[in-house]
Amino acid sequence: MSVVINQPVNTLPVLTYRWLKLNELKLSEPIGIPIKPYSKQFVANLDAVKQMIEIDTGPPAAEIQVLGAGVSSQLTRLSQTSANTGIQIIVPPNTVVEQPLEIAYRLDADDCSVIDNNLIIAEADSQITLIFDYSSAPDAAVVHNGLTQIVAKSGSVVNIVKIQRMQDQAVHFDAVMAEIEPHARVNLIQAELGGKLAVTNYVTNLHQAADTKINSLYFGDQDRVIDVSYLMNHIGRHSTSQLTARGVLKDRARKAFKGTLDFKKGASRAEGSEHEYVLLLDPTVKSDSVPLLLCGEEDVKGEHAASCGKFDPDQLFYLMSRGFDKIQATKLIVEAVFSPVIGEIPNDKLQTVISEVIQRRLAGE
Amino acid sequence: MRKKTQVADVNRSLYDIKDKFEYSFKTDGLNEDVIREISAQKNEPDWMLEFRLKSLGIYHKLDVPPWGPDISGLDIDNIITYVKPKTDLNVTWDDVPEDIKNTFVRLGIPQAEHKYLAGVGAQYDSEVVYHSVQENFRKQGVIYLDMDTAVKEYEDLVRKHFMKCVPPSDHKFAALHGAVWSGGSFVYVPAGIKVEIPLQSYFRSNAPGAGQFEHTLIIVEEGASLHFIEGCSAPKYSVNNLHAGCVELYVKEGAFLRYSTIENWSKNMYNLNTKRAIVEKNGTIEWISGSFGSKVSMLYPMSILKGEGARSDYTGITFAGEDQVLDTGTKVVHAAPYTTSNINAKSISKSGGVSVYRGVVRVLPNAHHVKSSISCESLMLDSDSRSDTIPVLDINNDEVDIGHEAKIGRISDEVIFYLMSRGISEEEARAMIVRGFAEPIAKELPLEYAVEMNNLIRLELEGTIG
Repeated sequence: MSVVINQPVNTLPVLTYRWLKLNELKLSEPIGIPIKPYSKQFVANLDAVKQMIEIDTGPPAAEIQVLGAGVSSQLTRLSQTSANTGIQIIVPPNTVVEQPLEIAYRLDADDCSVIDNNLIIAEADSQITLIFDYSSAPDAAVVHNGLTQIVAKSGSVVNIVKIQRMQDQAVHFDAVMAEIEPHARVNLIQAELGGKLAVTNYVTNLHQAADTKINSLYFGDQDRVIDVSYLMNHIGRHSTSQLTARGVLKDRARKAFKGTLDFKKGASRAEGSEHEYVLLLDPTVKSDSVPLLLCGEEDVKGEHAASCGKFDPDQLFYLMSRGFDKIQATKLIVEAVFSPVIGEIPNDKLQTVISEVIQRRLAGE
Repeated sequence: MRKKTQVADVNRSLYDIKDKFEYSFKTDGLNEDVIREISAQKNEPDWMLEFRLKSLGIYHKLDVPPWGPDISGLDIDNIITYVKPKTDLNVTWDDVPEDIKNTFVRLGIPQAEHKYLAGVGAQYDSEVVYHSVQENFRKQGVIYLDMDTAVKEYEDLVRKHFMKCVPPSDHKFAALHGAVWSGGSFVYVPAGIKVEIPLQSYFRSNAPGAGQFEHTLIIVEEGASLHFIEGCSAPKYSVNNLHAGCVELYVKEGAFLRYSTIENWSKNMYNLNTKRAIVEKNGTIEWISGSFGSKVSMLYPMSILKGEGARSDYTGITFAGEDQVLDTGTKVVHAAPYTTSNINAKSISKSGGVSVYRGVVRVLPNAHHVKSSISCESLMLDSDSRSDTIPVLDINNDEVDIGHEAKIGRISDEVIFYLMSRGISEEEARAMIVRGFAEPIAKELPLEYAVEMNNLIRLELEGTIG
């Protein structure tokens, strides 16, 4: 059995000119997602953490209200109704789980689809870190569609790391939704490195003094299409958000960045910032950015900044004068761009894996 | 408790003067017969009638954009699309009928002309009624005519450019404009001529329910330069008004054009204006845009930088008060290498007003060494208002240097506190900050427009003190 995905994805919260074709991403062709069980073990260190938290592998039995459409309402619904994997976690009050929980999916010819549905509830003043790592076997046409819902209760901290390093034939859809209650924090670290099509969507509701930090990197080369969307709904007073996205585009890669700060009426003293840095390596790339700032409250501070261009020729010249060839120099500069994000990943092995993927691709291997 | 800045509504009674409404011809509804009638009344060449009919066909095919402000209050079929006032073209001020003249006198147009202006193309209702060009410009070969006359007298020149920059297929209201346009200004500046004094067109609509569809066509030839000033002010009526004008600017190689506007429509106007410039090699377009009036505005002056080294500067301020939705911004297409754009947009929202910056900078694949800098700043004066920023960067080349910044916020307590510690009263401190916010725009405006803006800020001052 399989379902066919045909609806447009990542629709902007507020529409703009149609001729830009950026209000939503239309799929170039319908995508079939086979629905069958996922066969592999996917929680790497279950034993280490299961004493401390309530954890169930498999999609959650009960549905909680979604905060938005996600990547598309069709895909969100798919994860809710037909997930073939997922986890359910409740972190008890005041429990601090030091060791990150590692969830790794490897897609291949046998496990050609992962439809995961995850629910993470962090009770008051608890703390947890989860790492999701999606990879695939070479030449396997695979699809991942994920939905991760987070409820961060008062004073809790939830760190989510999402790494997508699938191969060139893979398709990746991923939605993360976080309800962040007073004084709670949700941090997202995201690395989009692979797949022929990668579409991600992050939406948060920030209540009083809630905070979210997003550190995101994307690397697009060859014919990859990347569409990343972030929506911060500032609902509560003193809520804060910081989004930093760093990207490198090469070859014929196409990227759309959609970041929205939405200050709702009543969110006084809220502060939000959004920064995007894009490094362009080839004239054939396409880089679209739509940083929206929506505001219905007077007493807020919101800012966004985006910069986009080639790297500084002086930098390159300096490095080359020191004996590096152009590829080596490029590698160094790209590493410098990404290191603030990669350095945040709480797993040395994954840090190395990501660096290697990027270095290899830059060398055109 | 922190004090809020109180800003009084702008007193626009000066602009809400209406004269007894008289017209010699009007039509309701929109069909082929109406278009034929309009064209026949104007005694136009056949190609223009055909153009109108073609546009009407497109109008009926296109839908209203699904994005942007709500314009469902508009019922185009019940709008008097064309109103011809009881006067024909006038060469001298003395010939202008008294009641029409009174309106202009109250707007200060003749005085401004003596002091400052090269010519006046003033539109009363849908027809140009008054027009004068200084003699020396005529000698230089500068053509400044109302659009209706230009169609007949400079037929080839008009035909070559008319709605080539903004085709009727662009959007529904461009198509409407193509079908029913009437009046407007035509300016032709020959190669190498520098027009030293700004040309001004001050027009206003006056008939209840009348649509204004004026067309402005400006051609600045190689190495020439011009500053054109457009101002709008309309009396208040209970019927919803529609303004769907079109401005087409052709800036040729090495030419310079500054296009300044204060849109100050009455608060029941739907202002759906389309403005666009095509800029050739090393040419410069400068847009100075102030949006204050109207119920709903959708206004995004667009620059197509077609030749190498072309440049576009946009400086805009939007002030949205009660019951206003002002959706403004700019669009830039970098279609050639070494092109530059600068965008500086500011907005103020108060008393439930909604201001939106909506824009795009698009760099086409062949356009290398492009530089673009975009800055959007919004000031919210209360929490009943809204301020949205909807920019798009669409980059299709790597050899670019693009920077974008946007900020939103209120008047900072720290700054107020600092100024107060220096002996300045709180009211004055707030006023200073608002003035400072608008200053970069005000200084770019010509005198009488800057006066109008200062007037707004002065009123704000009064509101703060009161």
